[in-house]
Amino acid sequence: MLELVKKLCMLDGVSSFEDQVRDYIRKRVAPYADEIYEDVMGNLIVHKKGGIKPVERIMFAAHMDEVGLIIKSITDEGYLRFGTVGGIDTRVIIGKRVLIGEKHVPGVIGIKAVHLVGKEERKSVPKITDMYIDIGAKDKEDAQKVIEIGDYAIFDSDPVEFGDGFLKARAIDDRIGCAVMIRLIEQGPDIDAWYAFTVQEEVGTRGSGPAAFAVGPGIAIILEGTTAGDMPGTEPHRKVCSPGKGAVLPFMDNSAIYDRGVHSLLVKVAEDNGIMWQNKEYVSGGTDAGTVQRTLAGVKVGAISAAVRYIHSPSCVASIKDFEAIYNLASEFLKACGGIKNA
Amino acid sequence: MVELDIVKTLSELSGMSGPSGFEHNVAEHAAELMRPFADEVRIDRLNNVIGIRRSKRQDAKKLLLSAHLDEIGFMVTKIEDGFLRFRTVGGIDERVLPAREVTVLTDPPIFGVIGALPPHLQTKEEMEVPLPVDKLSIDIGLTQEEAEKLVKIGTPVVFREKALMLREPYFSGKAMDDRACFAILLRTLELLKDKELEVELIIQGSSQEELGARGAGVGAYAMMPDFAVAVDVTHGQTPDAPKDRTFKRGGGVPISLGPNTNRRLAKTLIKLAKANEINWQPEVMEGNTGTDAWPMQVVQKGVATVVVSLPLRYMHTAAETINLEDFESAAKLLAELALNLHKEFDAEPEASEYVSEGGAI
Repeated sequence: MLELVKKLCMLDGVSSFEDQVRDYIRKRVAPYADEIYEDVMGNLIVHKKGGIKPVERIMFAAHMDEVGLIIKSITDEGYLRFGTVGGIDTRVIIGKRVLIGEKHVPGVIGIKAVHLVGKEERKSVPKITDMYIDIGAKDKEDAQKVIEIGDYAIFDSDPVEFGDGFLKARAIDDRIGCAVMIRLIEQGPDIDAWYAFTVQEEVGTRGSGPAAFAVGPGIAIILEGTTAGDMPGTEPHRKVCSPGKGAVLPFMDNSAIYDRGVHSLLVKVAEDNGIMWQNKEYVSGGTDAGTVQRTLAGVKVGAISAAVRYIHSPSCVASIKDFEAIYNLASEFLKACGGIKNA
Repeated sequence: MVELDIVKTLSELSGMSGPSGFEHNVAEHAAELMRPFADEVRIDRLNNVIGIRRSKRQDAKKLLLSAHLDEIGFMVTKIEDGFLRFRTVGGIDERVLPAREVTVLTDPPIFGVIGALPPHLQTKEEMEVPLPVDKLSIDIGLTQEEAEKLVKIGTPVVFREKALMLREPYFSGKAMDDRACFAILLRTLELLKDKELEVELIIQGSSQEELGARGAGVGAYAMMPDFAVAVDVTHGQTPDAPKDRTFKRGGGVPISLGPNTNRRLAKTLIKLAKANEINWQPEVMEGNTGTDAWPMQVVQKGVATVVVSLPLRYMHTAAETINLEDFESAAKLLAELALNLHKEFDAEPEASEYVSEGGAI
């Protein structure tokens, strides 16, 4: 599981540029799939038939895309102006390294030296429109040799295991969800289910609607990375959740109030199987659940999330043992839907 | 003939951990790098590393070239919920810190990342204000108990970043300030490898510059040079920086002017630059240059000093970026200085006498 997450976190997948992630997943799960296709948005839909067909059609969903940057223009001096794709706090990208386009042209998001910054200026955050990427180009023409307007850029961040079972990588949100679904398809319970690897979640949960529309599930479980704020200094009520304390089961976020029956079943399954879980103790963020919930004649939604610190930054941190908890819970939940009691 | 692989050398030096006061590993590596080119190499009590190329002349004057080996960093001040609270060592803009990866210099060193609350948990107003250092902490993925076992209060911390080539000739990494300039001095030594010297050439990799040039004066005291050049980084031009305080690409090697500069020594450099078709430009520093030249100038009876600079973008971040063409120009100019300095100053019996010589350049 860890190796799979690491592998997925190294693939490029800025919203609407999910090709690398999709190609990898498609190749990997195709031998196990009874039906597999890519829709017009770029969602990858997988149907795995099983010996047991639940009364309600079950769909799991995880998004393949990640937050990143997009090149908007090149200055005469050869610096790149960019926009953010998805919600990025500009404070976490200052002075960081990025890789641009499929060729991974390296660049740095520059900021002038502290020596040249006035006292008042130092109290302000540079505007995204004033920021730029330096690729060491001589001038505009030189930059154009390797960069095209509209190229995406990802953060340059390698997976690192550290501390007591933690993983640092970019895009843990939501490659962890993708990894869980891949494993469910490859070795999960023999129960009929659909799997939607969605696109463009980070720009407003754009992909999951069409995916859910096509699949038509009765119940959908969103597998997600969610924000953890458990650093010192955060007021206790804003810590949300904590990596290492198990699967996060949100009762609501800004996108949806989760179906209480599904939520309760997730909690029960976790308890019955001794799977570590935790509440999401602050209402923040949103997921594909909101869009999926209001598709067709309505879908009952639930979510299993991974607590991720510094989410949407180049250096996301999650707990490795949570990965197993999330997989086990998803797998046991599927069994419960298929009428199989504690296996 | 030893061939200096500049990119490899820069990458190695950049990758080493050596915040101010903890330069010993870097100093030892620097000593190894100098050994093929120097007659004598030593490290002093303050981690200054000194390499000497002797002259055949008995009365040879001494020329010292100094670049500092320390880098900016942090120091652990407290452990809270397993996270490390810290202060900065050297001038760091706290705006570059959120989500910055670091290496905590325990034995063995451990990985850490400076935590930042995600946008989901903050109001728009909160996100418009930079996070001060005392609101930040380093996440090392440990509980309080585990962290206390592993990390002592006072443990130094540095940025974690691999050096790499951007579009040539731009090279980016941490601690380019000022290890890139130490690499310039290695290149200078290489250029002088088979040349006879009329001066005694002393190369210094100094310590604790980032705390106010604390090491270089001590090193210079022991060597007592007649001339000393601080080779340090200056600001390269970027879109967000004032044009009149930065140096643009291809503008030439900045040579200092002002009270910290011995004018005759600067004139000699300029003359040599012109004679060898090396582009140069003046860098006026009206007071403390903030370089090793400042303490070295007043060592013992006084030393004739000048600053030769390497323009660098994004100083004191983990993305310090230099131009390798500027690097080579500076090395050439310094090699010319070592070869020709005696011609300008042979007639002078005492260093103190030419310090007073004035006149506009």
